[in-house]
Amino acid sequence: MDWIVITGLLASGVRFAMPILFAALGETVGQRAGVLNVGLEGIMLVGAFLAVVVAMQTGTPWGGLAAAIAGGTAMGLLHGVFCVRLKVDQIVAGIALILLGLGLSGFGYRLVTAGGAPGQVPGFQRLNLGPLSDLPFLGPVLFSHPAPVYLGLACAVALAWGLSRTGIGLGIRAVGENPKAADAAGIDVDRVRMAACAFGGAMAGVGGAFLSTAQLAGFVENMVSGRGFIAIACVVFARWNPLGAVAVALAFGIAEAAQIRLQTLYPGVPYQAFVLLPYVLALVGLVSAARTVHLPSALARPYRKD
Amino acid sequence: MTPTATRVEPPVLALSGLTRRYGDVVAVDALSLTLRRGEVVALLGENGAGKSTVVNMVAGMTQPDAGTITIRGEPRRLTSARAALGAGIGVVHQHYALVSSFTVAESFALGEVAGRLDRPALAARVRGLAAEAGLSVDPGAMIGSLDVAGQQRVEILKALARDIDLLVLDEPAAVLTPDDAERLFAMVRRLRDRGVAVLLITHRLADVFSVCDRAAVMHRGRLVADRPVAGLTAAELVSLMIAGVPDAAAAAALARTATGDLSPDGHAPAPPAPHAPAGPAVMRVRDVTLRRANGSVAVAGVGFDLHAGEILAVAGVDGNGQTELVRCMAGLERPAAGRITLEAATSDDPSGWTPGHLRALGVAHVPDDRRRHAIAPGLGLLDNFLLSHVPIGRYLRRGLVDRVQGRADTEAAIAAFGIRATGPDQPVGRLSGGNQQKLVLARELSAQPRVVLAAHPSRGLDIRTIAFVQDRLRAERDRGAAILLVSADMGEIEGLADRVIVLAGGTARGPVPLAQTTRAEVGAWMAGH
Repeated sequence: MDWIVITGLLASGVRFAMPILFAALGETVGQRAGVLNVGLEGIMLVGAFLAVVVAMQTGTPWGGLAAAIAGGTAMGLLHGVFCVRLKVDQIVAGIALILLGLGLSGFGYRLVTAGGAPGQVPGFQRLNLGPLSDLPFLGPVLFSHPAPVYLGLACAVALAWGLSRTGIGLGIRAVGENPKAADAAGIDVDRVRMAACAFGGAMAGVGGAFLSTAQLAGFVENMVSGRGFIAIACVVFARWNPLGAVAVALAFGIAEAAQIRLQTLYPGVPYQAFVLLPYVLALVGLVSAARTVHLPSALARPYRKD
Repeated sequence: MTPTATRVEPPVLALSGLTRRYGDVVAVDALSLTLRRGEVVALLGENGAGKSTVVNMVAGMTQPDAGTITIRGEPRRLTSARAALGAGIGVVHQHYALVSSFTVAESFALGEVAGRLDRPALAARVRGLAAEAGLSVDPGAMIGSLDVAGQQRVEILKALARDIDLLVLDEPAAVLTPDDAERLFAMVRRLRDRGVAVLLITHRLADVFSVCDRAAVMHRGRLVADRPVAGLTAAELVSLMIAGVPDAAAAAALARTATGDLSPDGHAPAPPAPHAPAGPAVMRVRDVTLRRANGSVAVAGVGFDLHAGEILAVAGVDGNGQTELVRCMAGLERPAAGRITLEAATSDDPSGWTPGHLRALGVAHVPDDRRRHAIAPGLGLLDNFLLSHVPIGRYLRRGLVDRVQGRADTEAAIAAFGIRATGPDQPVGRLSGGNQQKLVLARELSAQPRVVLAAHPSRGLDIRTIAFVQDRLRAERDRGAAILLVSADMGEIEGLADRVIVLAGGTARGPVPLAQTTRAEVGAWMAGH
């Protein structure tokens, strides 16, 4: 393979990684606080849908992003109401979110497009950072992505710092490891978890918005197609570390970019074999991580005082 | 000087008519109790007497249904742990509220700091507090790497860091070595001299006499005595705890069988009645090394024979390999090195060393963590009873579970062991800890086991149930079973065991016949001397 192919592969790999990264960062915080949200898929769908619709209405992708954050937060809070306040089983509530998101986004998009085919979606444009973007190899791979890519990376750094070096991060980790200890220290466990749910939802919404307004430009029913689940695998694979999530999401993104290229390189092989690639990677990663991971001790366990 | 200037200082804590119900059960019934500056008060009672509920109300974890909590003359509603802390009440719970993946310094920052953690400043503060209290604590150590006493020191320091007037200690000495307990009480005395009031919740009468000024005794939710320790006798206290009245004679017999900690001056109880000499070895442990779950070596070079008709006690503070030893002997784990063999086993094939195989050969196991390893709380007594029998083929008829027979046997066990339950279908999680333990014991002893592995069988139980459990173990020994008893309670060991082996500091001492050692010697071994 020559440089051009590799450069293209890595550059699109970075963009493919972002929806997974955003969702995984939110889920990392949620799981660190002890809340498992398997419904990321549904939230990402709602985010993708809202981003497209509102971007078209407002004429700017930032408007769409804001709408996706609002919608994602709402769905995250819904998850929180069920899991944190009502202590419903987190897996069941998460599955409900998937189905809800699938239905809401699909139905909503048909309603919006009932009057005819949608127009052009104002998507995020790739930034031109002048001489940096013109660098050979590094320019396309690192310095010519849409603005949300850099926001996502900044987010990962901020979260890594915040979780390990601030009192709030300490509180989040305590809530996920030993909620009784957090409670005894005067922390409102359910409130921290609700906030983590809202944040996780917002980030999954951003992931969906990135998919429909930065990586692609437009909404298709069920377009998230498993990225929400890959994001959960990414959290575990990265051992609940935001910076690790960057590395793992990039691996998934590059695998996805590679499988698309492999499809065209080997037209004789059924394309499904290549589509499987990121999922195989996820499985291998989870199996190899399974022996050594320390998951948050109170993960998926509702906290009851008595 | 005006004559009215001798205003009486209001008590640090005054509980008045405090009541808390759980459903139909009145856990705490109109309790009134007062603590003044520099006073150490013991709150005593059997399990289920309501002590923990009092602690939870004072700690802000539970709200009373009636009554008032007055702090320094001011009525307060303690609606959260934070409110209690704000009112100057520090609580060290029985189960430490610590995060094992945090460092000591991080544990201090939890709930206090919101923004950036200044680690050097935190460490300096922890060191300062430790020096002031006369405790040794390393701010950089991981909580999970500390022993029980170390974690307790962290909890106490955390409480002291908030400048409290009242320190509540819930069963603080139960898990400590005698040395660590003495250090703890020395610190309590220093706090008292500084004017801090201390409420000490305890089962152990020795604690009352060594450090407390007053003893308050609860019985079935009600306060039945609140008297200065001077002038109280151990027998009176036991009687108050068990029966709610200070009738020493009635309680003395029961107490003698239950604890060896009765007399404050540390006299051991009368040696156990002689019984038939031990029979042949039924289980052999040879040069065994045990690793903890985290991979560190808990103890190396353990070797002993377990004989039919004896009770061999494994003494030591938790975390020195006792849990791992029992798990290995029960087939749940393999030792890291060495061999464990069962005489009754037909082959030495280590792949056959499974719990099912061993159970079929007559090895019964009473695990230490009852809720996690012994029972399924959501299932009824019947299902829990069948749990250790059906998998090895008992209670099966043509492949189907014989629930009729199982029900009959469960009902018989409920009657024989005096288990307080509505019937064989009541979920076990609804029973009290003592009744759960009786069910586990009934199940494990129901098939006339050859070997009984009993890990802390009486921990956390009330005196009456302890006496019952110990009587059952004695009866099994006299029947000819070989019994391994893990215990941290010297009184229990002295009252029950024939021989004792001590695991401490990575090595094993003994086994020695109990008659050839002293409590002081075993205590020193337990402390690692």
